[in-house]
Amino acid sequence: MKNLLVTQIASIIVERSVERSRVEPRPAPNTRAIMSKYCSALAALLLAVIPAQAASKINVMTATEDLASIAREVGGDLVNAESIAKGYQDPHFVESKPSFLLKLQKADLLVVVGLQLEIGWLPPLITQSRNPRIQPSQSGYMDMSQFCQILEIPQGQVTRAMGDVHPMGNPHYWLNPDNGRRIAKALADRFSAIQPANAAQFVQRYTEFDKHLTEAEKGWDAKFAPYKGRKVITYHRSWPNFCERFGLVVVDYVEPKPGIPPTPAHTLDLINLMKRQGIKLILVEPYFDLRTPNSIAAKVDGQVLVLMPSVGGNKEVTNYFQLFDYDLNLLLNAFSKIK
Amino acid sequence: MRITYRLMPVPVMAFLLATALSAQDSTELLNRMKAMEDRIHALEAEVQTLKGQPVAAAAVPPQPQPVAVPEPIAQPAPMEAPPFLGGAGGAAAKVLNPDISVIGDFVGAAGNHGGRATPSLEMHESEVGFQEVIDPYARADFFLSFGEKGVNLEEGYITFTSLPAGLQLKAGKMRAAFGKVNTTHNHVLPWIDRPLVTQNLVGGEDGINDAGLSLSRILPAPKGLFLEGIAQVFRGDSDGVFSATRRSNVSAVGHLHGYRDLSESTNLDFGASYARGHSPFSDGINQLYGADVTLHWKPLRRAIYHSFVARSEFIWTRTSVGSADLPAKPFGFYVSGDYQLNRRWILGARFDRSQRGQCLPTVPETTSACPDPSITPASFFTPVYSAVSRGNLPLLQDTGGSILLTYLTSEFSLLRTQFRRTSYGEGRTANEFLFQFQFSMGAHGAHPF
Amino acid sequence: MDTLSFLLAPFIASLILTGIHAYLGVHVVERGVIFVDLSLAQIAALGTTMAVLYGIEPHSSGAYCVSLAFTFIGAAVFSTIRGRDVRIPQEAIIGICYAVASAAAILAMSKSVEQTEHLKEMLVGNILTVSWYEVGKTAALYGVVGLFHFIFRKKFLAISMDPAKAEADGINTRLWDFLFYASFGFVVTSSVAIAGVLLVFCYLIVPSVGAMLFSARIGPRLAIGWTMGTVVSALGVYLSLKIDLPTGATIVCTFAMVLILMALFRQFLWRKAA
Repeated sequence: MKNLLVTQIASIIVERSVERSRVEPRPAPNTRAIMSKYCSALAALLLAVIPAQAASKINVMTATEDLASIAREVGGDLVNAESIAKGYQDPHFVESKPSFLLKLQKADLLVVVGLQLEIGWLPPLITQSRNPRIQPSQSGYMDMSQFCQILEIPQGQVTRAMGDVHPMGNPHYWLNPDNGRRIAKALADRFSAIQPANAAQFVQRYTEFDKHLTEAEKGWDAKFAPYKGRKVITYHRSWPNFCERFGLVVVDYVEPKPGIPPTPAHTLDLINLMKRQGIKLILVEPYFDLRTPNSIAAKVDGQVLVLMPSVGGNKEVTNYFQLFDYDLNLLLNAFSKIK
Repeated sequence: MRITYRLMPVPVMAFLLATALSAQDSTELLNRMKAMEDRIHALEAEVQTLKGQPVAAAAVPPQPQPVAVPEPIAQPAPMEAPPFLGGAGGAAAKVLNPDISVIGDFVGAAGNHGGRATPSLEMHESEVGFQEVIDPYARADFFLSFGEKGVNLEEGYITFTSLPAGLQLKAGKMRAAFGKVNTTHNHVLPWIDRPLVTQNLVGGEDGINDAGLSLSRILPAPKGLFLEGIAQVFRGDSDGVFSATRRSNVSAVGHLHGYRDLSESTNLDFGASYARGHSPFSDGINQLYGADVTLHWKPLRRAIYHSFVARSEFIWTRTSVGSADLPAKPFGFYVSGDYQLNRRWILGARFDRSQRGQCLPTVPETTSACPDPSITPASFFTPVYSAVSRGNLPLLQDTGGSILLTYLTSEFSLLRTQFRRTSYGEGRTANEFLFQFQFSMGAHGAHPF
Repeated sequence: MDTLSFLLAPFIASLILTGIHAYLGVHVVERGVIFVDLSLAQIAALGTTMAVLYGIEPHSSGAYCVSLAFTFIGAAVFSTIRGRDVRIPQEAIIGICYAVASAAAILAMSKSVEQTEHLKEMLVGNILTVSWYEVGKTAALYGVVGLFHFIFRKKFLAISMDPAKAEADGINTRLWDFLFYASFGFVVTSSVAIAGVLLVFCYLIVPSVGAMLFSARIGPRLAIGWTMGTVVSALGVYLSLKIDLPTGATIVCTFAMVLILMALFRQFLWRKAA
């Protein structure tokens, strides 16, 4: 039985690598016909170089730092993971700077959040990257939303009158450790496919990550258990996955509609709502203006918490575990004071 | 489809197995798990080849939907126990329609125009964009503009994204990569109008916009510097800049684009451009030289509230009649700055100055006393240009200044006002108040940097 | 919380702004230096940025002193540029000062990271979120400035309306110009912090321009300006809540609308009456 499995693995690995070499950027015949002749000499040179590069380390570019952090956990020394957006930046609004092109050009794998989070800045970068491996639909392009549990998928008609809605669901799904685990799993699989020789190591690292995360989750759940069911207000719809996982109830938002800055009537409604229901906490991402949340908090005698939606949001949050440590500690402190 | 359904339990099982296993530390189990995973991959790859869809999408059973339904409407998952993985199945629902966007541009003007009249109220341009990936090797972009004079193919080209050696090829009709303003669509401009130098020397609103090929490559450069070279060949027909009377009258445009991050929030973008083609004014060559610099500042933590952009462009032209170069080399430039005061308000200013040959066409037309260039043969302008060259008709110089205030109602619409004062070379001064409503629908238009 | 108490603080704040700015606007329009407020506010912002860059806490009195010192330097520059040489318009120099101060502030901010990014937030306010403490502080401050201007009103008006005559009368125009710009900078910096640059600009210019349509004398102009400011403030704050639009932008638009109505009234009805 065991032997049979081993041979099966071996054959699959061989198959994989054959398939991979098919996916490598060898231009299709019709493209080649369009290219002028002198380009093909250069192409041959490039083809000789790329597999050699890939054999050493996997170059991973991610859209956000959370994905980069998980990629580092799973890939260890075998991957170079770097994020385009910084953790303290609003991932909806990133400038598509040419300096990112240089990094994308060398990437073996591009990992994105998907669900139209990056739609305002990533597509031109991908097109201009001149990197055939990471074009959407190629094997070097991974949309993580395909692997994760997605909340707030709009039902029925979607229009812009609803604000800047994401018609495919809420893209802030990485804020649930379960989805973090799914992301890690998908990455481990993809890394193994790219470097079959190190597949065992990726699986090993994923297993460790999974174990570590399960333990951490036990700790978080234990500490947070007394505060399940607490009501909060959030600035943007960044926290549904987080709140669902840890049992918080998001009652309303500071933004009247996603992407629309606070308006007076909505602010007044919010103040009255918070007073009526005794809600004291407003959760804000670090890239939003604190003026309106602060003034609301002052009127309801509440508190504004700047929670980190991403790894790298501030200096203390440098990996996926610390992201939850930091946010949950902040919440615990606030809850224990409010009573 | 059937294969997908049959596959569903497999990743779920693998997932459950994986969590169950984590507690124990048995290598044999790990091996078995891995073997199963690999088999899943093999099967997934098979599905992929069968469906021509990415591996990832195979995890979600795509809902059969009629082609006419444009946007994904989530339907309950057909299975009960495990969590529903994946979004609303956008890839499946979108089928193969391109991303469609429509941008409306309503412009009004008041005040004294000093010779270059624009309508008081105008549905200036409605741009319809179709953009989609065509196949694994290319994508296509189409921009049709519906103006008051009719429909115009503003741009329509294919981009080959998978060429080797870091090359990228575009073929079709496109705005030439001459400087910054020439490549920019109306709705991305930070102003309501285009600067004087564009109107006088680079063909006005349409600019150098022609059918041709464009090849570009990222060039090797020292660390931290981004360099890109663009070489383009066009048919050679652009109103007021180039005109092709023979097939051999092709025009060529070259652009060198540099970029450097000065800090996390500040960066500098610069370029040099050259364009050459058959002159519309004489039987000779029209050449344009350009230099552009843009400074961007956007603090990452407050990216949606504050930013500053300073830009400037300098353009020289020279036309030769026959083999002899003319000494008249009209020059023009603009300097402009935009400061985002808060989430919704942007304050801007622009100073521009440009020379032009007297009685030579500009876009829009300045000098009604001169014949209409669209119905006048190029030969008419040859003596005019000779007169300009001999100094009998000195170059005229237009100077203008603008102050702009933009209000962003949301990400998809804006209201802009511009106060513009221009002194034209003929001695007339225009004081104008312009306003603009801009609104877009459809797919988010992401703009290149 | 009912609507009234929610809107009371912004409304009182806008009344305070009307009070001082409609008056200062008369001077500014008379002098033809309407962008001076933007320029001085930017210079003050540069001061705070520099203070933060050198490690002073942004909310401390130290930072405030540095920003005030910068404002005074700006005031000194503006008071010296009003010479006999009319080749360079004053507005051009004010514009250059604005551009230089903005650029310098941006350069300074790009040097340091975290703190300065939040700094802009502190410098540009939103009138809806103004607190009672801020309202009280501003009222006291403007009271002092207003009193100062009231005591020396003859001199201030003389140098604004007819500088040549004032000089002939033996008034030290440089000194009084400096005092004007210094007190003006003082006011504008605080106003911007509670209401934002654009709103302050409107409060400064629009009432005074509206009043100029109907009267050439100072007294009636002030009366018209104050009435207009009060009506627009009340209307703007109310409309912003009613149609749920951003308060600052609504007040700005209300100002524009009222000004257009006043111009039409002047054009078609006032002449017939006269």
